Formats: sequence, structure tokens, C-alpha cells
Amino acid sequence: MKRLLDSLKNIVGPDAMITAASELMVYECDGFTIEKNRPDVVVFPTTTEQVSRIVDACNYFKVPFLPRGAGTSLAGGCLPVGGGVVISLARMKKIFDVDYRNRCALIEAGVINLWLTNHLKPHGYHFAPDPSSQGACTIGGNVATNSGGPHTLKYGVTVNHVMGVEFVMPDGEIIHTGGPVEDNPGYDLTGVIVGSEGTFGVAVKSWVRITRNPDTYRTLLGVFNSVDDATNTISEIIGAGIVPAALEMLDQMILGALEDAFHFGFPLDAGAILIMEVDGLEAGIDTEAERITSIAVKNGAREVRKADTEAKRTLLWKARKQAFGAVGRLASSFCTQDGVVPRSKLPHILREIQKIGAKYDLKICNVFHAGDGNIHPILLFDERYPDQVKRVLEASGEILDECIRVGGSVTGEHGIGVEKIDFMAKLFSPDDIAMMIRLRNAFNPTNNCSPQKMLPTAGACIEASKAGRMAAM
Amino acid sequence: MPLSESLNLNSFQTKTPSDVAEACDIIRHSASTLDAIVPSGSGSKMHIGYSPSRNGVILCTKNLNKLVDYPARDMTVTVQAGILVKDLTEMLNKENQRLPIDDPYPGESSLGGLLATNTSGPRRFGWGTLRDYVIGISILNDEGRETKAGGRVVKNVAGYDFCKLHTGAFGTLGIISQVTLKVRPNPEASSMVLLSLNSANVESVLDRVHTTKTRPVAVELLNRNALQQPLFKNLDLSSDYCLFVGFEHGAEAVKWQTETLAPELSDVPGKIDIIHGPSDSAIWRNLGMFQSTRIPGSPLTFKANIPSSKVASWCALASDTLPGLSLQSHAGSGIVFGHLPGDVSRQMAFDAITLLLQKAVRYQGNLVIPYCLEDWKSDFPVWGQVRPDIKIMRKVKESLDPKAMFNPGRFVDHI
Amino acid sequence: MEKDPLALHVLPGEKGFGTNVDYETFMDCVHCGLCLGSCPTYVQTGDENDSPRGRIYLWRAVTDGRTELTPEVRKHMDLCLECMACETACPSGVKYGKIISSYKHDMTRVLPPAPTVNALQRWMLFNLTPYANRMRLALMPVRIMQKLGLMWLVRLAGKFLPKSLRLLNEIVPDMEPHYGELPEILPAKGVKRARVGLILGCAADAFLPQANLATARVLQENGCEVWIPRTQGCCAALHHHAGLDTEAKKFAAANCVAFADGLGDGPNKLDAIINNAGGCGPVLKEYGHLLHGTPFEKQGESFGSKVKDIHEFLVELGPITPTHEVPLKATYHDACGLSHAQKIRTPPRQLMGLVKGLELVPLLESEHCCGAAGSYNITQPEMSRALGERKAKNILATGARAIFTANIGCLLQVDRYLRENTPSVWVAHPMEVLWAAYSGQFSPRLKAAIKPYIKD
Repeated sequence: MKRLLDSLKNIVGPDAMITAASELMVYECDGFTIEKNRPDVVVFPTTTEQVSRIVDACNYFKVPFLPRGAGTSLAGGCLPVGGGVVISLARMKKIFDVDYRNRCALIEAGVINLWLTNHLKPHGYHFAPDPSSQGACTIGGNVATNSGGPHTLKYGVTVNHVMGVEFVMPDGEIIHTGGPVEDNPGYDLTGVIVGSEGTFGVAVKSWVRITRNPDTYRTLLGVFNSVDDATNTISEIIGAGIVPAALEMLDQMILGALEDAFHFGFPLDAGAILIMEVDGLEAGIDTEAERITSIAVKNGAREVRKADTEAKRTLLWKARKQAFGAVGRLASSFCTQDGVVPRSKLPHILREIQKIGAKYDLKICNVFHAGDGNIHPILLFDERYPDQVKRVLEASGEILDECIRVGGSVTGEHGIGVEKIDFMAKLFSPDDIAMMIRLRNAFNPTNNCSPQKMLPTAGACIEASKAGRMAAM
Repeated sequence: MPLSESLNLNSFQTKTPSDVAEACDIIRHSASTLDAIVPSGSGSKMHIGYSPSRNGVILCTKNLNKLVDYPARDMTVTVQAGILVKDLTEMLNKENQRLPIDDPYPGESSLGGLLATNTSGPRRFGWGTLRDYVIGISILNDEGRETKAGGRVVKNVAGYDFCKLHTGAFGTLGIISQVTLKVRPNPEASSMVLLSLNSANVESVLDRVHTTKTRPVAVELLNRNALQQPLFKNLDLSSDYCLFVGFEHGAEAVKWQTETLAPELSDVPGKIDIIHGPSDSAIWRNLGMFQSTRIPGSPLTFKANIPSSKVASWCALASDTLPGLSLQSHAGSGIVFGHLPGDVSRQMAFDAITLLLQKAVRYQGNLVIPYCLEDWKSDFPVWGQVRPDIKIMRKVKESLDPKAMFNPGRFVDHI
Repeated sequence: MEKDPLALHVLPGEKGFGTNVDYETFMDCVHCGLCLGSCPTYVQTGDENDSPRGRIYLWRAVTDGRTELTPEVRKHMDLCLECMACETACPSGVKYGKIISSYKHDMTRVLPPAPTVNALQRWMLFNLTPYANRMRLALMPVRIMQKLGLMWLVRLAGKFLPKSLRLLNEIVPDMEPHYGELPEILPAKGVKRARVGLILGCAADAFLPQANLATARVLQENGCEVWIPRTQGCCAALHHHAGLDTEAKKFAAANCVAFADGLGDGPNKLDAIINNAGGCGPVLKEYGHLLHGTPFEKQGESFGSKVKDIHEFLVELGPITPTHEVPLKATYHDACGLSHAQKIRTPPRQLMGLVKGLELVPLLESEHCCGAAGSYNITQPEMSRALGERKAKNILATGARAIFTANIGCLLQVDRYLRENTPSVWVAHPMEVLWAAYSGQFSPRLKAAIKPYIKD
């Protein structure tokens, strides 16, 4: 290890690495705190060449390594399982080249998602993926996990907006896939690197697509007496062929916490609210907003409010995006799940969640990307009571199993990480997983890069008791 | 010299399994005999790429064409890959939905073929390409097993995204047997604004269309030769270029955009026409079909991909190099299709293609040849300039198809 | 755990580290990381140890005994600006201020002063700065030199000064002459709408007297009778943030005495005590808490409840629209004390929006600390410089000819780093432009800034 540290020091210099135990501790977990492991060293490269040389050094000394952005993963994506070298890309935060004419930009992995959008704002553009953590999470992290966000309903997830990457392979080689020009011939390596959760290598720079801002928005707040009315509205809006920019549901319990945090003026007696946003051109947008309003009213909305100023809209979205954090006001610990169901199954899954909550005597609140069918039930508990922890784990597992049963998935945007690794075998057959392992081996044959992530290790038994874990504590 | 419409597959036997199990048997058998497998749907794109480097069988998926599940309210559809795109379109249309991908072979293409070749058309500017719509995929792998990735929900990050990998892989990594797609509602209205342009104005007009207040879903540029083709003959356009700007939205939005764009460009010399009509009207279809058109005697069709901002200058260079060239560009996306004139010699064509390829590569793009005379393929850059990431592509190929059974040699760098 | 020879240990018999804060405060942090992007030091270093989440984790670990208080831990804790941007960002409502304050207080308990500050600086910081008169006196020679146009001589001489003094020399802006002394009572203009007390501050009054003058005038203009008690002093923020509570309490009590006449229900009752420095407001508003358990507790509470930021107050009162046009492209930097600690973001913008001709353009990262942060520019010069330069870069990118911000520390810091590149940008308190718009009196620096806008 001493010799590895010396070579790392030669590469990045003493000011760009952390080796003291007390400092390394901060890197022992990310937004998922159930499992912790201290890395042996954290390095802060500033160039692709440095990343490549770091990877070389790790391979030479046979020490595992993994990249880290801002450490906001809710699935333990940044957890250094087995220790090793954490390659922090937080100092690589240059926005190199924004080409408005060709609608693309070259940026480094450590650029914070929201900075990019802020950078583009004066020119009338934005970066479409807008995960709730966008004020902190990095583009590199978005690329690794194929992040979503409320507005992916209309605009797509990260992979739909990444055109190419500069990538350090697990053997240290620097490659470029795709680029600023669309349709380069060959396999869509960019498409498969996005969302590979760091198991294919380290994405250091990305060519991303930038999106023109819509001319205008209509942001509506549908107030419903029951969750059922709200979910029926969602299916009917989608079924009617309307593609809103975003369609988000919040239930009564989460509304209370958000009101406490943001003083928006949410109706606290409502069973659920829907944030329904349409965007685009001024022409016709009111017609679209009216169609949505009438569907909501038809399904029992007791009122549909308009966020009629930009300030109100901003506050509403801020409240929505920071909902997970605000749950800290409801309980000392909570577990956020990330299931997906076909959109027409939303009323069903929410009723199931309610039943499961009652069965395990747990409070569960809901705030989620309804338009995508991406649910985020938040299970509240107190980590100091082992019995509650056990019940939360079991209830989470049951919810996710139900998602699978109705044809859904166990993660819509948080990723598998270490948290959901045991669910892979429930979603996929051994043959499917074997193909995934073959694909990983094409990029990362030694598995020295981000080991023990995404794919269950061959031969490891699947413990039902570990199903579902706390996403944040 | 005879015009060849297909790869050299003379000694290939065609097998048409009636279900997935039978297809898997065929693969397993070929695996044991080390025969090549050339996947085929309806056969509309069998001319693309190099001829296979080994003999074997053509595995035709046209009978794997069942609808598996169409929960219209979820706006997803799961079908077997051999389904004809037109049948899928018809089915979706009944629910007032669609897959907004242009099919250059309407009536012929299978969905699997469209996917394997990552085919797209004018609408890609507004609606994206197939990679944006495939959310689940099943693949018959080298061991004759059906493996899947993705799922049936619109948002899903569990496991690696094989959907992207197989889209545009030309069947070299396995056979696409089943696909789940996101679909879109049919647009309420559509319109097309046509602008006749002389060469000198193309670049500035394209720049202006880029910043127009409207939001086109298609920006198509055709040169004079292209406008003379039967597809567009009845439009009676004879300027140097014609720009087609297409809109598809709600009725009010389309009306507003149509009425806004024309005055925005009213100072450009040349006439402006407006064609109203549904999204499946002839003008849209014909713009989508140009790439697959065979101009009599034309020995070669290329597809270049360059930055959108370079379309005008690159097209000018191409026209200067080969005056008889028929060109269409999806100008918003930087894609240019060209059909060479019939009277061009092999050497002239080679020199021109080499020059245009170099220019495209300098812009970080490329140029491929979806169609040319079969015997030209030996020295023409069929798949453009090979890029350094070919190394990774080879590793992926070796890992997923270690016996090189699927379309051996057909794709990029004879992979 | 290996022992670090430099690590600090709690002496036997003493209460452990971190016991001065409710442990539940740590538990409120769910480790989501949403604070990271809001933290100027993290953004600068990229090291999560320099982020709010990291610092909470570190201090909790020290409290739990998972780690010793190593020099590394101290380095990261000391680097905190206490700008409280993280509290604004935190959706869980973690009271980060309590956690960092727990650290600061434990440090004063067991430690010598921060090693980056030398004795001379420390003396100046705590014995000169908080006393307006001493400060004014100390700055007198500089003012004269500036007046005589001899500042180049000072800057030249600066090269031969000890490093610590040179630093102070760099901070000093081009000063305007002091207004001297205002009458103790300034009458309201027109119908009297309120009677207010005005806090002049200490360093602010010495360095940038024009801001105080403008504040008083704007208040008069808005129908306020302004009382400026002669015996008022420093707000106590400087000592409070350094963990020097005894001194802080003394200053707070002194102010309670100075304003005593207006605190009760008597004829001289004040409707509000106005403060115009974002950095002082949070402490002034907390006098009740600060003086808890002292004989001044009641007065402190009354004092604190009356304190209003000038912008906050004017917007609540209903500001009178100024009539003179100020054709100027300007931008606004949110002082941390104002935006994060007092959550006052809109009122200054609303007030400046009243000025005809003033185009207020958004400033990227306007809510990021400029690096002044009280005495931070002296205790952490490197980080302070990095943040100051970043701020200056963002300001220049807007193309604005003026930058407004409502805190003395920010004004000096921004001025210092803009001066290095673009001395022509007018750095001022929002009240200054407001007063210009009320009075039509434009200072030379304002005139210089608006020059490009005046067409002949």
C-alpha cells in the first residue's frame, strides 16, 4: 500500500489525495448509509491522463478502485466494497465547450448537474435530466447511473442526452465513444456505458445534448381527497395521449413535511396532490392545461390550482425535489424505495403499499414520478429499534416483489448499487445475468473496477432477509 | 455490370422458424457446425454492409411476428421482432398512438430490421431515434437461448442496457426476438413549410431556422437533383435547394408555428409554400423514403453524419465534387444522404467519397455507404473511417459472440 | 485506531467534545448530500471533508469517539465559512449552525487561537475592528493619503510591511470622506410613519460611511424619524463567531443600554431597530438568546425582537418610489448573513427594482459566500482569496457596471478582488443607489459607472 500511495502521490501530488483515517471516514458511504467501508485512499485527479495513470497504478498493485462524484447515490453506488482507491472526480468540473448551434456540450464528470443548466440558462437552453439531487449530484454520476428526474417523462433520462464519453477503461486505456456528431457507425458503446454504474470504467468527460427551454409552462396542482382519485387521474391523462412535461404525486403525509419545510401553502387535509406540468409553446398550451384540469376534475379533484408565477413554480419544484430530505422531519430514519410499475398499475400498487404498511405496522409516505410509474414509497422508522428495521426491510422487499409481479422493475433511477443486488436474480434469469457478466467482462475482465456492484457474484446465495434496505438514514 | 440488390448470399439456405424455440434450435445447430447465421426480417436491408465472411444460413424472423402485449394506456407495446412495421403502425393507430420513427421501406421493413440497422428519418430531429424508444429487448444468443434485458416499464435502470447495444448492431451480437417499445400519441396536427432557396442562402437560413421561435420536428434540405426525383416531382420545385420544415403538435401550436415561421423568413428570396395535412401524408412519407430510393443506374448511396452547422458547406462541397449528386439532409441532425449519379465512374466515385469522408471525419463525423455495387465494396469505405473505439467493439463482439456466428464480417471493420 | 501525536484529547475530568449540542441535531442529517453544491468550500476543494455533510460526519465521529480530533479534522472544521448556505439547501432542516458552533466553542475551551492568525492580527481583529472610533482613527492616515492621491506610496510601502499588515492594506478600499457625525435624531420627511433606531456598526462605519449615511437618509425619506444613539457599539458578531462569548455578551449588553430608552413602551418607543449590515443582523436578532441567563436577558429579548434589516423593514413599511433615474446595469450579491441566516433575498431586489433605469441582472452563484465571512479573510486567506476571485469572475461575467451587496465584509471583499481587474465597477450598498435615486445626488464612483449609459 505504501508503494501505491507513493505512485499516486507522483501522479496527482500530495494535495490531491486523502490518506488520513479520520478524513477517509467521510468517504465510507454515500446517500446509502446502511453499509459502510472505508477506502484506503481518495485521489482527486484533474485530468484524464491522471485518471488513466491512477488506474494503471491500481492495476499494478492489484488494488480495486472506483469513481465517485458527489456521493449522493441512494443505492450505495459509491461504496468502496473491499476498500481500495476512490477516484473522486469532484475537481474535474470544467465546462469546456458549449456549442449552441449544434446543441451539445463537452463537460467534465465533476460538473454539478445544476451548474450546467445555470450555465446554459442565459442562452435559453438546459440539460434535460433533472434528478432531485441536481443541486449537488455530478454529471459523471448521472452518466454512471442513467439518472432520471421529474421531467424525464417528456424529455427522457440521461442516456437520451449523452452523445459520447471520454472514458478510462479498467486497464487504463483512454477511449472515446460517440462524440458531438450523431450516428457514428458501430456499436452504441455510449448507450451501454451510461447506466453501467462504474463497472465498465471511469467516464471522465461527456458530450451531452442540450435542450432548448420551453417558451412557457403551465404548472397545475391537483388536490384530491384520496390517493385513488389521484392515481386514476394519472392513468387517464397518459391514456388520453397527453404527454405532460412532468406528473408527480405526493400523498398527505409527505405534504405535511414539505409544508413544514417550504411553507408553500399545500392543502394539508388533501389525500393526495398531483403536480401536473405542461410546457412548450404558448399556442395551445392552455387548451392542454384545460384538458388535464378537466380529467382531474372528472376523477374527483376538489380543486386544481395554478402556480401562476415563476417564483411559485420554482418553489413548488424545489419542494418536490427536496421531498426526500424533508422526510427527516417525520422520522429519524427512513427508507426510500425506487420501484417501477406499468402506469395503469399505479392505483393497484399504491393500495398494496398501504396494505403492506398496515401489515408491518409502518408509516409509509409516497412522493413519486407518477407519469413514469416510478414509485418512491418512503418507509419511516427509528433505526434504534432493531424490530422496526427488520419490519422495514421485509416490507420493502414485499413492495418490490409486487412491482416485479405486475411487470415492473426494482429501480427506475437510483440504480442497483449494492442495495438491490439481490433483486437482480428476481428480475433476470441466470441466462440474462450471464450475458450481463459477459458484457462486463468485455470492458472489465479483472473486475478490479467497481467490484461487487450491479451484478450478483456468481455462486453467492440470495438471502431473502436482506431484501431491500434503507436508502438513506 | 449487374446491379446487385443484396449481399452475396448465394450459398445460404434460408430457414424460417415458426417460433422462438425453433429459432433457438437453428442457432444451436449452427453453433455446432460453426455455420454463420445471417438474421433477416423482411429482407429489405440485405444490401447493407459486407457479405458474410463464412457460409451458413439466413435465419428469417418473419414468422416471429406476434403481438405479445399492448397495454395502450401504459403507452408501451411488446411485440415479436419479426412483425412488419406497417402492421405495428396500424395496430398502434387504432389507439391513436404511434412509434414516431420514419420507415424508409413502408410496407416492407420488419421492426427487428429497423432496429438492427438503427434506421431513422426526418422526424429524428424532433422525436429522436429508435434508441430512445426501446425499453426492453429479448435476444437469441450464441448458445441458442433467449435472454432479456430492460423490461416493460418506461423507466428502468436495472442491469446493463442491452437495448442500446443491439440497436444498430446489424445483428452481429445476436438475434432480436422481442421488443418492448415506448409509444407516443399521434399528433393532433401537422404541417410542412417549404422554402425554395438558392445555394448562397442555405447556410444563413439553416442558422436562422435553428433559432426560430417555432419548434420544428423535421428540418429537411433537398438539392435540385433530389427534387427532380419521382418522389418530389409533383411539387414542381426547381430551385438550387428546398428546405422542408415540418411541425407536428396540437392543432393550435401547429397553426401558430406555420404562421410564425413564414414571416420570420420572409426576407429570404425564394418562394414559400405551405402544405397542410396529416402526419402520414405523402410529403412526410416521401421525405422518409428518399434514402431507400434507387435512382436508376446510381451505383452508390452514402450517408454522412456531420455537425448540423456544417450541413450547408458540406453539401456545397459534395455538389461541387459530383454535380449529378442527389442530396437530402436531415439538417437539424446533421445527417446527409446522397445518391451518386448513374454516369459516374468507379474511380471518380472513389475519389469523391474519399474526399467527402475526410471532410466529415474532420468534423468528428463519418460517412458510410448503405448501398453500392457489390464488387465496389472491396475498396470503398463501406463503414466509413474506423475509429479507435473499434477495440472495445471487438471485445464486446468476442465476449457476446465468441464463435463469430452472427453476421460475421458484415459490420464495421468486418467485425 | 492509530494514535496521532498531534491529535487533541479531552482532558480527564472535562466534558467530552460535542456534548454542548443536542445529539439529535446530528441525527437530523440523513446524509443525502444535497448540501454539497451549496457549500463554497466544497465547491472549491472537491473534498467532502470540506462539505457540510462531511463536517457533520466528522464532528459526530469526534463526539462518538470514532476518531480523535486530529489536525486534519480541525483543518476541515476551521475551513468552514459559517455562511449557512447549507442550512438554506438542507431539506431536512439540519441545524448546521449549532453543530459548527459546538466545534468552535469546544475549541476556545481547549485550544490556543487558530494558528493561521498571528498575534498582531488577532489584536487588531478583536481590539481595533469592533470599536468604530478606534477604527476611524486608525484609518485616518489612509484616508488622508488617498485624499492626497498618495495611495500608490502606501501600496509601495505595503511591499515592505510584514505579511499580516500587508494583507490588511490590501483589504482597505478607496474610501470616501467620513460624513463626520450625524445628529442624534434625524427628523422624518413628510408625515412621520415610524420611529426607528439605527445601528451604525463598527468597521462598516469607518470603512464605508456613505452606506450608513444613505441608510439614514433613505429612512428619513420614507417618513421615519431616526434615532442614532451615541453610545452604541459593535454588534458582537465577531466575538460570538470566534466562540468568545464573554466579550460578545459585553457588547450586546452595551447596546441594550445604548438603546434602552427606545426598548420600553415609553414615549421614545422604537418601532424598529434598523441594521444595514447582513452580517450583524443574525446576532442582533438573537440578543435574547445571547444574553440568556444574564441581567440583560429581558432587554436583549426586546432588542432582538425589534431588530429589522433595512430592506426587510422598508418593504414591510411600503417604500416610497424614488423619482430620479439611475441608468445603470447592475447585479446583486446575496450576503450570507442576509440570505442564509435571515432568509432575506427578495426585499433588496424589490427595493432596487423601484429605481428607474436600474437594470438588475442575475449573478451566477449570487448566494455563494464571497469569502469575506467575518474574519475569515484573515484566518483563512487562501480560501478567502479563491472565493473572492471566483466572485469577482462571476460579477465581471454579468457585464454589470455596479455590484450591490448589503454587508460590510462583502463590500470590502468584492471591492478588493474587483479592484485587481476592473476598478471602474461601482461596489456599493443597495441603500446608496436608492439614496441616489431619491436625491439625484450621484457620487463620483456612481457617475463613472453610469457614464456609458448616458447618451449625449
